[in-house]
Amino acid sequence: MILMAVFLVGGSIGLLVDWPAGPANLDWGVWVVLYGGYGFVISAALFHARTGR
Amino acid sequence: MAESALYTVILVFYFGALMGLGLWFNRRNRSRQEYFLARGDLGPATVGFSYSATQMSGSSYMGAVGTERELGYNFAPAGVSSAAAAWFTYVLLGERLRRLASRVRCTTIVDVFEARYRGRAVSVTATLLMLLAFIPLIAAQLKAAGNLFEVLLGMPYLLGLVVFGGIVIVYTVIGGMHAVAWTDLIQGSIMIVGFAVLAPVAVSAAGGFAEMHQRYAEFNPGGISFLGEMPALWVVSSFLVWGFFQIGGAPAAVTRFLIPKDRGTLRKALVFSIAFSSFIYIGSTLIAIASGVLLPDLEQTDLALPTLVQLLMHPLFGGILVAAVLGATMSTIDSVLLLASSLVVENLYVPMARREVSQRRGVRLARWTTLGIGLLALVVAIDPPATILFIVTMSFSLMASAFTFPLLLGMWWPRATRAGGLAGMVGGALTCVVWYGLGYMEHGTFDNWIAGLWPALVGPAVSLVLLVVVSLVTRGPPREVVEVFFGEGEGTADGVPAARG
Repeated sequence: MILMAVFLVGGSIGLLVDWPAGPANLDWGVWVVLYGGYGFVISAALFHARTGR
Repeated sequence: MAESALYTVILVFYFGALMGLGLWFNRRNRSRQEYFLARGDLGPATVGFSYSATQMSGSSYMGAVGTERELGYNFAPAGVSSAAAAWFTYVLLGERLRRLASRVRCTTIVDVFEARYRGRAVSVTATLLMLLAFIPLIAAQLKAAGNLFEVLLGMPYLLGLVVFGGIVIVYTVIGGMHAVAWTDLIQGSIMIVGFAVLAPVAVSAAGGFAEMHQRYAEFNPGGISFLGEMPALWVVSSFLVWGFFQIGGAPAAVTRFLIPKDRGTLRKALVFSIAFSSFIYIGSTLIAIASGVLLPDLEQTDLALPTLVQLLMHPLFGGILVAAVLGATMSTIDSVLLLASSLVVENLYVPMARREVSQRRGVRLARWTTLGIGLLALVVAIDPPATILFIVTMSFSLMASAFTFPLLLGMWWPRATRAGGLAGMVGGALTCVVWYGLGYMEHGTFDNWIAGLWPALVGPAVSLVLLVVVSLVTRGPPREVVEVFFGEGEGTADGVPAARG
């Protein structure tokens, strides 16, 4: 549930931040919140599948 | 061979295979519970893919690609959030629902409400709300498929509707949940292969990953980061709503948690769900951005995906991908159709029947009901009235508002009472409808809301407050309910009927 709160609250704040320009003509927000978000969710699901928590 | 003829041949083979699957599973359905739930008969991949394929839909694949093409990364948070929906629902509900199903017989999600809140008022309200949302939803999906047939195959709308609707209704009627879940797995697998090929081809055709974004910024300067065209509150709302509130907003998908008998199957199913959803949403983002670059003048944005397929892919592969998109539409229709008929049979007819319904008669009744609801939706889809389209627009928000917290707190908070559950359900649904109405009065559209706040956020918030306050001022639930829902260990009865009170 802590991970869920981090995802929801962190993601919401991350969407509102004015991020600097990053690689591939995208700002860092897209890399951190979007693509990082997918990595976070997949990792959390694997964590739950392995540990049950 | 002409492109449309090749598409037709592929679709004939594909639909033939689906019908065969329905017939194959025909003999497996010996009871209503096997027909509606296939309890214990499905593995992790089938449960996982079926959850995600039901949660998404073919029209939302096309709609999402079209919308993302217009809004760019303003809309992308909805994708990562939708992928996370499986994580939220599996962790917060999955294990508890699976364990509950081993203690009391739960064939539908309304059975869960009835077992938890012990009242016909709760179960009838939940059933009617779901049916109100589901039948127009099936009709809208059928309409989307009919339109696709018309555009891609040059087939008259009515003929496309009847062919497509007829196939999905027949295999659902014959095969029940076994056929529905297995076709979801097949359709999801084809979708993965399709997107795995189309996304890199589209990105490459748009100049490569970095150049594609540079060119997209010229096409849509506001769409290259999260906050551009749309208000900040809208972007954050879509992020929150498409993830967390799928707990109540997607009851057909959540029903999948009643299927597995063991914990390991459910956990592995989560991995399949997350992997499938994430892959599809990342792929659709890339395809959408590429379509903005490659098809800047496209007028019907919903056709961005099929148009890109026609532009970039060999007709043979394009035909398979189109079949998969249609298959995704089918995944939603078959699941919702099966849930709607299970609600009518299990939560309306059986409780009112004066005598015991035998297994054989029950399965026959279930099939006739599935057929009846399917045909009703087919008739509605021929020329859907404006009110139907309005209900479709708000169906997700309505269910998220009505069911998210009564379901979640019902599984986690022993103090939640029957009156609290009913107040949360009705109050959330009414708030959602009123919020849509106020937004319409202010903006003249159902897509923009007061202060940019999505009704699927406001409705659940009111539902939560009502549920908690009313529960605290009313008498707590009976001890046996608390024991069934919050006791430790697995059940041994595996499906004794829930007491109806």
